[in-house]
Amino acid sequence: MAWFIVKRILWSVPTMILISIATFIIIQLPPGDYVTAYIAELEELGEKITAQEAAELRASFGLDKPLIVQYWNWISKIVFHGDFGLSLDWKLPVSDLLWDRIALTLMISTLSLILTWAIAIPIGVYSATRQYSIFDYVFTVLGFLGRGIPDFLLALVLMWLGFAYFNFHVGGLFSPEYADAPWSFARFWDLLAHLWVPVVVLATGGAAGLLRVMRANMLEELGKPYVETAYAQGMSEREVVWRYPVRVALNPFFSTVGWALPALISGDVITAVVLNLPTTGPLLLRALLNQDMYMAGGFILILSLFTIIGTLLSDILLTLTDPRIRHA
Amino acid sequence: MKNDENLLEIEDLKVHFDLRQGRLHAVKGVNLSIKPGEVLGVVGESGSGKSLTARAILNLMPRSAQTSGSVRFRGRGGEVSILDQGRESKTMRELRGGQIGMIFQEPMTALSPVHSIGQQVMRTLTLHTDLRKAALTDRAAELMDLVGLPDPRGMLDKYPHQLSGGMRQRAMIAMALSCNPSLLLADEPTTALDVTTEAQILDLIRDLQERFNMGVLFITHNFGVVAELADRMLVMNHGDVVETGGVDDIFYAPKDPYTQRLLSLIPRLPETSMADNRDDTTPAQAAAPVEAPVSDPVLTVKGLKMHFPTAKDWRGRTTQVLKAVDDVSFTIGRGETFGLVGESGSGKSTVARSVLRAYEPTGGSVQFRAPDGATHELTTMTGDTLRGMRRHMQMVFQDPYSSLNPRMTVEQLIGEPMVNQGETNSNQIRDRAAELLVQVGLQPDMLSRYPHAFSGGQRQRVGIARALVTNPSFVVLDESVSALDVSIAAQTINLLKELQENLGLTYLFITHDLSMVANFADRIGVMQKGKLVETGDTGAFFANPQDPYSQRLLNAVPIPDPRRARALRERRAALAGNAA
Repeated sequence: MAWFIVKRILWSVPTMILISIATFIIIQLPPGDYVTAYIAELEELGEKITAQEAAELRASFGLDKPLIVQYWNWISKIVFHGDFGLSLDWKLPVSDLLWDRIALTLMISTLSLILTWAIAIPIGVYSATRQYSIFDYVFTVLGFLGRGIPDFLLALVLMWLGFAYFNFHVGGLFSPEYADAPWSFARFWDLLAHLWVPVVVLATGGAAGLLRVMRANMLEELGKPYVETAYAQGMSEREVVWRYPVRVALNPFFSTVGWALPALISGDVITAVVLNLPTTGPLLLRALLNQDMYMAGGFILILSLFTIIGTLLSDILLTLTDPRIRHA
Repeated sequence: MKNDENLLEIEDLKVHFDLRQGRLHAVKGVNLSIKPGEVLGVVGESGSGKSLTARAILNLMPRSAQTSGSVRFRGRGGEVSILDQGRESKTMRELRGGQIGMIFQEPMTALSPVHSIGQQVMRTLTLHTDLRKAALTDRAAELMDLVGLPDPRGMLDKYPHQLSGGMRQRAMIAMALSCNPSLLLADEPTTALDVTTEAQILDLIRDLQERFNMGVLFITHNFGVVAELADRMLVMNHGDVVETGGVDDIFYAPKDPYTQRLLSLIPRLPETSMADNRDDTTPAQAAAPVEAPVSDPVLTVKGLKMHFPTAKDWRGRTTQVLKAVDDVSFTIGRGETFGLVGESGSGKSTVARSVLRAYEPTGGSVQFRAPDGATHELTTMTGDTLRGMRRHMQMVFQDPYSSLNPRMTVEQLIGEPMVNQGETNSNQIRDRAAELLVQVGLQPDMLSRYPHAFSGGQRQRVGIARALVTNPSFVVLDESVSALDVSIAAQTINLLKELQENLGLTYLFITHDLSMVANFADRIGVMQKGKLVETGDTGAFFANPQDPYSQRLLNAVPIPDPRRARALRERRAALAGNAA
């Protein structure tokens, strides 16, 4: 078990190196660079820039060096100093912009993931054990509705409800008066008052899909002979269901934790834009549009790191819960 | 209860389901009783309602089942009328696992895959006894020992997937017996096991039944098993009890025509087999009969090897191999049936797949003589030449349910090999498919139906038609009748024999069932752990098997003859007594 985890962690090192190289190549792929984008922007404003000035700009950003040197400069600073470079667009260190947003994103994501599971698992189990009952049909209809309604639309509806009937300040994560205030209980409360909208929006969409998966998994497990064995041992229905098939049916959930993590961070960009959330999605989008290469590269690198951590987490969870994998 | 001595009394039990297509009567009035210490065998083909009857005793039928009649059980707490109790009631939960134990057919799937054996056994104990902590573990280990599992303490930490089928079934029995039940329900507990394992499990059940004076309801489709184990028996057909009585009465003087027919269809080992003098350890055996060389060989297999890599080092070089087939040689003559027998994992199916080149053998040679008289080496054949050769070599699979694509019509299914061989004329394909349906005893108007519209036996006929569509000269039958009911299996074997005669087919017949080859094969090969340990003419083989493993295998087959089974059992016990 311990050896398995160590082995997996060791394997993630070369994986990470390969990913960083791939990331760097990808952000270099579009024609032109940040200076080209910057010149185009200036020209739109009616300003001209000479070829020499452009070259000087490139030199000052280090964009004139060979690719391999640029890569080494970039990656060595990240690894040895935690310095992700300067956002060319914001003229700020990437790390300053990155971590705040990642922290907030992680919070929203984790909360919505927990809510997703809290909704999907009990309903999925109920729907499967009482297949074709009235409530099964009700949840099925709700599930398909939840799956069918786009998240951003639900976000708009909730914002409108909150604004029109409950007089909430909606959008963003803080009311204006707390936006730049230091942390206090009042600010925390304000955060919670804003947080529920994105969390509910993200969770309902996810839960609707997951509860179908849970229901299908459970139906398959409930038909297996070991469930009958459990009944024949004298267990009550509640015990049989929760002790046996639910545990087996949860396996696919564990194996998707790995994808859930990065998906939640790159997050629902549209929803985040609609709700004006200071999460990572909109920032990544802007960095990519403006060819802000260090910013984009930093993001993609962190996302990849989370993917690797997430997959590792899934694997560990699976080995813990399923002896067939543990003793394979 | 009518009789105070009875442990269980079922009176006029009826079970039906209301389906969209109408009412399905699954059990149509079963009467039975079991006394303490008595073994009642319930025999029937699939769909006879025997499993549902056992479920009714535990009140664990599907929720949609409607029941009438009465099931009364005399437990430690007095008499209980089971069908009047709620499915989830406390009374029922205390009976299940506490006073009535049950063992199931599939030892692989009947145990929870995510709990250790110890957790599962101890769960039952916690539910029904006051044992806790150390005492609980002690009792669980004691049970492991009782059912003959090695290293009882260590066994508690094992998970089902780490155990063999036989060991799992032992664990299952330990679970069922953990709380000293007075009634044990066994639903086909040995059907999924190899014969040698089956014999051990039957011995174990009989031994424990006698020791604890349990009543046993033993469900099986296998008459041999009933003859070995039961005192009285019940024959069921389509929800009806057609005959009930002492085992000897029914075996030697069956009254009902259905019972008579079933008994006449059971495949039996030849009477002259060593079975009567078995356990006489190596009497002065006659010299191994010299096998006559096969004339006109169609298939000549020499030194066939199929080794699968199981472990590789960091450079990707194989460090460990599984020798699934190791140095196997045999020859099959034209128009002959060669029976390849072995237990699961012996490599018999791998031989078939290597011969048909579904696998690329790692060594040896397979020579096939095509109908045109030319001999081809199959192991080195590739691409189009191999595809062309497949026209002459076909296969019929075991499971008639999963071996037919449910989304294809019978016409498409049967025609597919022709399409693969480049036939494009759809009229020709349809005509040929219709012709084959007639040959296998089905109607040509079934061409447009889908597999779900057929019974298991009919599906297997479709599978046979599909194998014959390209006019092959050589057909591999891989456990092709093993999944079928006795009467259907007998019909299918007859069909195969008939086809062989009419079309001049050569068969490689793979099975785990010795009694099946006895009636079908001209010659027999016995496989064990990848090796072919013995080959010979069927008659000679059953009269005098040479290899110790063949003898053991033959010994283990349950004999559908209660007197002989009893005599052998006593003899074996006496031998064991002498040895001890």
